[in-house]
This record gives sequence, C-alpha cells and structure tokens, in this order.
Amino acid sequence: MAQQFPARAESFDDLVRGQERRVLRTALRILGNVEDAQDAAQEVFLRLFKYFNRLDPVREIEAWLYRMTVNVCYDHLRRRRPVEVLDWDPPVAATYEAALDLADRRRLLELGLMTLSPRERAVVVLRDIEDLDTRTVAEILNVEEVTVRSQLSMARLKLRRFVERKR
Amino acid sequence: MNCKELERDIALYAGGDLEQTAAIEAHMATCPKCRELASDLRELRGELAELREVALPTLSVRRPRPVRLRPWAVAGAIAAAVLIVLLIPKRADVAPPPRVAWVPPAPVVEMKPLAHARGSVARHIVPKQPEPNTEFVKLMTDDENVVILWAMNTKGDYR
Repeated sequence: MAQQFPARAESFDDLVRGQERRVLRTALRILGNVEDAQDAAQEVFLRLFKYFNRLDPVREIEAWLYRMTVNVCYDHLRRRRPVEVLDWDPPVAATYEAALDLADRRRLLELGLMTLSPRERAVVVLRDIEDLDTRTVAEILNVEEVTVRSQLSMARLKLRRFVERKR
Repeated sequence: MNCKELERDIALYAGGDLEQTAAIEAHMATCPKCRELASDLRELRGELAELREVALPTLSVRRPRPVRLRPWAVAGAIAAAVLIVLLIPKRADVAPPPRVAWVPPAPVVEMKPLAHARGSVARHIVPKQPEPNTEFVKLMTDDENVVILWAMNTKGDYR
C-alpha cells in the first residue's frame, strides 16, 4: 500500500505555479525548442497530478520533477528522427551565420548544447544551468556520481571547443 | 602527466567538481595553456548559468478536471446506440450470396509444337491432366449466362 503523507499545505495548482518555470526551463535546454519543451512540461505535470498524494511534500517533489522532466525529454528525443538526437553535428556554415546574425553568445551556447548527446546535455543542464551538485544529479539520473563527473567533464570540453570554433 | 591527460580534470576543477585539486593547481602554476583552459571553462560555466534567466512562456497546466457524465449526454449516447441498431439491415433484407457448386477437375489443354513442323508456329492441342491439387469451384450467378469458374490450388493449410 502506498505511503500516505500528511495533507499538503499547497495545492496542486500552487505547486504547478511554483515549479513550472523550473520544469519548462529544464525541458527547453534538453529538447532545444519551446514547443517540445511545453509539451514535455505538460506531460510532467499530468504525471505529477497522478502521483501527487504519493510524494513526500518536503523532500521529494523537486528531485521527482527533475527526474520526470529528464525522462519525458528522453522519450521525446527517442521519438524524434535519430539524426536530431545523438551527437547531432549542426551544419557549420548555417549555425555560424546564425550566430553571427544574432551576435549572441547565448544562442551559440544553446546550439552547442544541442551538439551534446542527450545524457551529456542532461548532466550539463542539471549541474551547470540548474546548479545542482553532482550527487543530486546522479540521484536524479539514477547513475553513479563518477559517471556524472565523467560526462560532465567531457561535455564541458565539447562545449568549449564548439564555442571556440564558432567565434 | 601532460596537458591533454589533464584536460578532463581541469574541466571538473573549473566547475568546483574535482575533489583532489593539488596536482592540478601545481600543474597550472607552471602551464599557461592549462590556466587559459580553466579560465575559459569557468567563463563558459558562468554563461551557462545565465541561461537560467531566459524569458519563458507561461505554461497553461492546471489541475485536470474530473469528467462528469451529464444526464443529457447519457441519454444522447443511448439514443445513438438504439438508432444504430435499428439502421442495421435485417437478415432478410440482405441479398443471398451466389450459389457455389463443386465441379470435378476438368482436363486442361496445352498447345504443343508439331513434331514434323520444326520451326513452324503451328500448334495442336494436347490434353493435359490438371495439377493433382487443383480444384474448380463453379459460382452460379443470378444471370444464367454468367458462370464463374474458380481454380484453386488446394495444397496448403487453409482447408
């Protein structure tokens, strides 16, 4: 029988309002576009609604939301064509021109993120953008901490190379 | 260790994710290239953190509402079901299928060249026994001038 927790101080709607930005931001960085991120976030909150009363209101919600967001995003990426998913190498001239046109290093970083594998991207998003520590990232992704460190170092070096090449 | 071997440790060091830092710091003290790498990675990390502040659209997720069955909707569904049942044609209204009769295998004829007319296009008819597994079904249609003969190879597992 599922564990019962005391009644929540916040309603489901309050929780959504408080967490939607975090979920949407994480999904956006993993998926790379707003439309897919919105779809993913919707799905995450529908799942949250289903399991709302089974989650520990104090300890579990944030980690659960991150974990669910990453998993839903992985599902989205699997449904995409393979060329868009794994180690996608963007057309250099086009992205370079786009980056120059936008004159925006932030856009360059966004493009760089999409060159990483989904797992590397998830690690960078959780550690470097969401600022979670490596142990929490490992728990969310259900991997060893040493794996997180390995993917993190590789991803940072790839990103740095990408940015240097396009500058 | 050379610089290439230390790259991944420097990537962790730049983000504060390396536990043993003494060796890296000692190396960087004498290696401007690795210091530059660490500096670039720290800058990169700072810019990644700025992505957190990007403007996002508002999500329109709210509590899913439970579905309530309204009386008029239930009545409508029942009425539709009754209508569908009434509109299905009765057995007597449906035209009967064509009568089917089994016909014993008939000999099939085949054209063979004449033995004495080599190279000639002349042919004559030689009866040939049908394949042992062939059966013919004769379909009698309402029009007595139209008969359908159906040759079947009965070798197989559909019988």
